Amino acid sequence: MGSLIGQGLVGIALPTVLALILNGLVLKAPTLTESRKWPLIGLIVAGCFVFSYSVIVGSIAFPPREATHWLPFITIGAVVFGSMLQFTSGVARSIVRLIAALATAWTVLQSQIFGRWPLLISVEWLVAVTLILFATSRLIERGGAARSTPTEILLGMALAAGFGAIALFLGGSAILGQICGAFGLVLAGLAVLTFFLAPAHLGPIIPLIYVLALGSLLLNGSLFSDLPWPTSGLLWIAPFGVLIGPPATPLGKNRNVRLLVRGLIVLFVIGLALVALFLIVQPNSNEY
Amino acid sequence: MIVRFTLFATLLALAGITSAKADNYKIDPAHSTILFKVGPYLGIGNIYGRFDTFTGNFVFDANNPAEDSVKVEINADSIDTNSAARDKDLKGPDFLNAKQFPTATFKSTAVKKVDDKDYEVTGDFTLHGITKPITLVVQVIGTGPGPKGETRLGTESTATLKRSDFDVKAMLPAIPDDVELRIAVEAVKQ
Repeated sequence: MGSLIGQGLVGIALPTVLALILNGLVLKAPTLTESRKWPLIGLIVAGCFVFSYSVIVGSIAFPPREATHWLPFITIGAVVFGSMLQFTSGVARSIVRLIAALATAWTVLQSQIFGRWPLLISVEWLVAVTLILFATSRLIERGGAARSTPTEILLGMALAAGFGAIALFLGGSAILGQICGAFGLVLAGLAVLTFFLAPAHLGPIIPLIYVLALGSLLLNGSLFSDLPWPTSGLLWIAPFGVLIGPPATPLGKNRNVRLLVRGLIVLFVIGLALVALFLIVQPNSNEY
Repeated sequence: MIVRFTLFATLLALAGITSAKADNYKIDPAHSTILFKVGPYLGIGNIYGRFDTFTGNFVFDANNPAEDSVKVEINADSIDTNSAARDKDLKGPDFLNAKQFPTATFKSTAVKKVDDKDYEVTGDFTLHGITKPITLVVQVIGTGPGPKGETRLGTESTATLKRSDFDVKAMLPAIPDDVELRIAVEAVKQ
């Protein structure tokens, strides 16, 4: 039992604290412009994700054999594609985003559906997941920039990932749950930092990491474990609760009240997701 | 011409006699069990489980082990440890990932006769998408007619493998690495 607790501490608490300190240093650095800060923060978040994954799983498999083996590579890929998004515009930007979404959908789905399900249905799944990842990463980045503060978006993401961890755990995968929990805590730490340091924008990198990493985790949970699809879907749309209401600015009036209200909207949707989980499956308490 | 024909016929007959010695058997799942033991869990107690769905056949010739072979296919989704919650975890992505790797297989590569009853069967065991050689220690329990007059052969086999060799590493070392297999088979001669 001691080794399990130790593994949890190293795999979850250590990357959370590390990310909090490093992200704080980057956000506070006076010599860095915001367009330079976010790629660095993206690297820190992805690095902590990979560290957490390697501790919780025990290794990083290469070449990946299972859909879950792709998770660290997807996260690092998200930083690369996110950085490309930051420095491109127009059609090129959409193409970069589409490639990132397609690559993620392929890595998760190829092992499960191709060769097992009819080709047409497999292609439909690939197209559908690609479009969902593409559209949601665009919406959370652009809609978030137009209507919410970085703190609000990060809070929404952190809540979805944090409660996603519980859903994944109860849905039958303690490992995916722990990885998702660590990711949620890293995002929560970043939300706290942005609350006090109030950057002007969030940029495309963190939202892309969030969409691709959490998307892969939830897809893995629903495809290979017993996480119900309605729970995955509701967790997926939950962070968009921060887009409801009039636009907000980082240092605008009543920002605390707005943050609270928007956080509660996100929590309401997450609550529905967990109700769906308890109604659809008999959650696995992992005690046996 | 007659001499050549006689020689050819004799050779054919001899070949027939030789092949007739090796008998084909099909595993009868209703009279067979694939058990495994893992433990001690958290250093406290052993957990036993079994795979309920499997198929297989083997070729057996007591006098010519070089011709013997075994092939077994196990449905990974049929794991049963007497706890639905634990079985769900074991079938899931943390352990066997039964949706991506629905079957485990054993295919023999060499059979060595130790004595009249005991054999060592080496073969490729594929679990969780990874293939590694393992050796089964097999004991022939007995053979004889079944209730319908068919010929039956019973064996009991044991083997120990490390789950980490098959990339099943979740909860190491709380759940130990060594997995002991005990396979009781009753097979019907075809």
